[in-house]
Amino acid sequence: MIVRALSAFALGLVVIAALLGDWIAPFDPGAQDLAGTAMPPDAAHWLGTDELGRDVLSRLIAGTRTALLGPALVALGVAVLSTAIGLLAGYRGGWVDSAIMRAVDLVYAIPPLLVAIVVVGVFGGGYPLAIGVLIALSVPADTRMVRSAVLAQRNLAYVEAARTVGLGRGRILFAHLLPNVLPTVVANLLLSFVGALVGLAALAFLGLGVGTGAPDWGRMLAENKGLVDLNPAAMIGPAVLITVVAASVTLLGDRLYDLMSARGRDAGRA
Amino acid sequence: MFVLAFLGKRVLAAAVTLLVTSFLVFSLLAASPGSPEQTLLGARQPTPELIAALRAQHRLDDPFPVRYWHWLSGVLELDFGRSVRSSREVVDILAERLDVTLWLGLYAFVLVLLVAVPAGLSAGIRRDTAWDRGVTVTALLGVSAPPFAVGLMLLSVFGVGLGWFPVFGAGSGFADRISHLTLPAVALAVAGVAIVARQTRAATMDVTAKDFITFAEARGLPRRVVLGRYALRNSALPVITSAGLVLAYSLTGAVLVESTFALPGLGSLLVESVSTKDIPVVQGLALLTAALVIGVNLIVDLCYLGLDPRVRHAGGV
Amino acid sequence: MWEFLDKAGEAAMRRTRIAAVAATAALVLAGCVGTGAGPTGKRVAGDADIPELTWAMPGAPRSLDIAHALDTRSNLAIFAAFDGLLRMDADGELQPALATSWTNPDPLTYVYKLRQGVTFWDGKPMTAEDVAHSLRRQADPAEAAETQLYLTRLKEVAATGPDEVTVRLTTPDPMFKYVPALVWIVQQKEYAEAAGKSLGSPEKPGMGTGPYRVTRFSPADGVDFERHDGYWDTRPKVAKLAYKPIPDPEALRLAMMSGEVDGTFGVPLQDIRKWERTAGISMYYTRTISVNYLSMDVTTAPFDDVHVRRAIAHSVDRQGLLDPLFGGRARLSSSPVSSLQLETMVGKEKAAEVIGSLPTYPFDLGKAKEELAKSRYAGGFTVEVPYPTTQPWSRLLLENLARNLSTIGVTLVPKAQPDQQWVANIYAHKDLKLQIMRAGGGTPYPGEMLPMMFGQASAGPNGFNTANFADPELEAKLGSLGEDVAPIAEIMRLNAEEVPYVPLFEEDAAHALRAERVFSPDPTPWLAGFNWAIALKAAA
Repeated sequence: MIVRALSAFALGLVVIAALLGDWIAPFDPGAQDLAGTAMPPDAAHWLGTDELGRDVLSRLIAGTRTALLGPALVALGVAVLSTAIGLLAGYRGGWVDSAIMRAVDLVYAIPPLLVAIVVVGVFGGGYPLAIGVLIALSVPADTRMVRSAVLAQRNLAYVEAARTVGLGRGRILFAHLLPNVLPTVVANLLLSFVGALVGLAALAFLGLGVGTGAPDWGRMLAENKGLVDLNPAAMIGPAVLITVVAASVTLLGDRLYDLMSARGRDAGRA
Repeated sequence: MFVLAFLGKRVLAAAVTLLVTSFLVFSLLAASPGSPEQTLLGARQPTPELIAALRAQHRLDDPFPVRYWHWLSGVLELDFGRSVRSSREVVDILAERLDVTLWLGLYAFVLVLLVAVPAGLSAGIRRDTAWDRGVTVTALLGVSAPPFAVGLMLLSVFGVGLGWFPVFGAGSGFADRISHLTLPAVALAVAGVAIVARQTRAATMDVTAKDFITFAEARGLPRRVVLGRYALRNSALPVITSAGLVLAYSLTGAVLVESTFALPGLGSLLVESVSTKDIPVVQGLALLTAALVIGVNLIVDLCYLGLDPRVRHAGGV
Repeated sequence: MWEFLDKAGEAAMRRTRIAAVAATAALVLAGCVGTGAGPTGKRVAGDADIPELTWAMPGAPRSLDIAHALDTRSNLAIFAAFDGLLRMDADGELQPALATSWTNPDPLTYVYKLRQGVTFWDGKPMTAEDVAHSLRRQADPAEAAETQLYLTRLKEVAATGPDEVTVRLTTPDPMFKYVPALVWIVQQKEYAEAAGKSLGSPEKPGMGTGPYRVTRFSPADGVDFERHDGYWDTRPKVAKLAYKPIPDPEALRLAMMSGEVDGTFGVPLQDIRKWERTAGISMYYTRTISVNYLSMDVTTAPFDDVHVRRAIAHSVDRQGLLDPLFGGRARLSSSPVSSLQLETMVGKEKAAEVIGSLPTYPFDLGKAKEELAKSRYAGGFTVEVPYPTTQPWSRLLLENLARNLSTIGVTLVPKAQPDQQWVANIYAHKDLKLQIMRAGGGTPYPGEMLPMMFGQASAGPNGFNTANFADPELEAKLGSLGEDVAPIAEIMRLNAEEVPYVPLFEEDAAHALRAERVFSPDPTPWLAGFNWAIALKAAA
């Protein structure tokens, strides 16, 4: 319970920071002070300064937007695509299903981040390409899960009943099947978010992410790695934030899944 | 028969996957920015002899499918061409680097199994106890912590602060290597432990709720037997599935961990080769990785077959 | 030169002579020239043997054959094990090594007298033919040696007696005299011919006369050396020397703290403060002949306007960046010509006088604004500036410059590029606009870089005149480069007035050694002059 409350609190803070960043940041995240570089935390700079004398806390706050936005894009992209494809495959069955599933099998096992490193490294596409690759390669795994959720539902009495009553295919898909596979989709959505958060941070850590100068958490982690002695907060800050946000979202995902599948069961009974 | 059909299908699927991957990997050279000659030249002096040699070697004058065919037949004989950066045979470089990564991967995998399975089992059995909550929260943090962050922390605490472990290099000889690779393996294993512990816990909870466990316990079978013979075996399927995932994850993690600990493995080779656009090496690495992943998935499928009679008998359905 | 390229692409620098010079010399193992060389509390050298010592560098050597390994990391390993014909001392003067004396009877002929009684690692005596062959094979087009760039004017090299080798050039080359120190590494002819293309590889590492023999070499994890007991010169103190690659600077520092690594060359200056505070490590600083600078293509908008170039020059906070970027271990530069090279040629005072007379552009955003207003691009502009990811200081400098320029209406977008791509763009000589570069010659001659950075001949693909700065007056001055300082000083002035290049810093080199070891003698600015493996001693 305490853990859940803490993680909800942490997530709340991060979301507020993303929304109100400009107002609550103590300093301009881009302002440099060459006379005060790599300073450890003090009363003015709670997390100290980086190599160009920029306030680390303000940069972390400014970074919340990219930190949430990129993974959110990936998660949404994955959710929409994998739900659509999974529904189609599971409901239609037949050759559509086998074709989709063969394609899914093909990419299923390939680690997305590894491919992203190669593709972004070789083509130099930066952040947008990284997001694209992560979406493309995360879709198959989720498609599989959605499909099996649909398969589990397809032959249940209520779908059968809906079909007998003569409801249209679209109606059955969206009004009946979708709500019932939603717990899976939501849980996956949040898991994709976490995967993308850590993945994009890893790419930025390897120098393959957002552009120079942007206050990105992964970038800060890599760039401030050298400050581990002078101002460790500059490196530990982003590392802790990434870990905490990822853990909180995972926890939220678990909880949401429990709640929704419970409601789904109740709805099914009624 | 069913078993054979199942096997045949899986092997065929694996072969097709590998073939498609090889085509994509081969296309990297053509698709990478700049002309293929430019990429293959790297920073070498573009003398007419060298360009001619490269064109001939990579059959740049032939049509694309022909080139692919030649490249593929070379690959089947383990000829991936030569590194742009060092002019050495790619296969030699890979062989040299494979050693460290294999050690690291296996070490981490052993750690995962040794830590995650008991932790997950015990948490699942003692559901909702303090121990269970502890395992769950730790696993949650572990699955979310980026491996490079974990690596840096381990490095400064156990390598430098306490001086328990060496901080760079892969070591030579068994004991030396184990001590060198302990910190990287832990950094790599953390997320894997978390994933497998969560899976094991969930699977155990699922299984322990089943009647046969209650029955076994009612029969008065020792707890050890109940756990070992029934719970462990029956929760093995999801655990093995996630072990496959862990391998895929380890490969990615190895890239980050090897970069952090300066280990001369395949992961750091990938980062170096990608950043210097050493396409032949990247191709070799990508293909090797794909083969590894596909191979392990095949093994996972086979384990299913061995462990779960239902899969064996349902093969033909 | 082009140390940037050197670090960037390892193999990168072989297309032009400059590049080659860079590779070697860029190394800039600069010695403790000038004052304040030694760290406080450094101990004196003792006489004890060191059974084993581990040296670390950011990467392993590519090859141990200098013909195919003209980059810093490889050169360091080669210079530890092999002998050249000559060496350079701390002042950049040539000194005997395998050659005991040399003459230059006419501008096209160099005659070297060889040391007698020198043996290879396998015990066989060194002959004049071994020495001649060692250079001849590098000039052979079939060998496609990276070092060929030094040897474009070489006509022939022959053994002209049992203890004599004679070199003939096609045309006079003021820089040839340094070749015996820079690339004339002696390999046994018989071994080299048997090894063929695989000379310098793990299987056939080479056969030299130097203080160490190679016992194991791998381009993945470095080199192991063992003392050569029959060495003709001072017997090294270190019995077994290991050379390991550790790419990550922080991992390297940790390894030094834990005692697994004894020393390293070229600590990133940005990290200096941290290294200084690390217990048990002594730091050695030396000047270098490298200069880093901004380059602006004077043939493309908006940099075709001198006022824009001056506005940029006024916007770089060099003084402010000195400490954050280089831990204070650099000096502000006022010319693309290295002040160390200039001092080596004309002495400290005269050099200061030449440099002091140049116009300067102090950091002043007010003046930058005025200059921009005077230009044809008063409304400001946007420019993307690429930098190689291996150079953290260039990122910081560009981020700072971008911030400053934003106040006068100019948008500068720093763009990280993989090293190879960055190098390829420079070679391709396209879309140059604003570039951040570093040049570092190999010889003490101050005019070394000028023909590469200025003039029509270098203003095209594979040329390093990234500013495309050329006019007839300049060509005349380039043509008269020689032993006289006047044309060099005139080109320096022209650069200061027209600002195709904004000189930024001359970095020192920083080397780290565990406190129980000492360098004796201290490192020098000249790679070919610093036999580092022999200089390693146990502290008394």
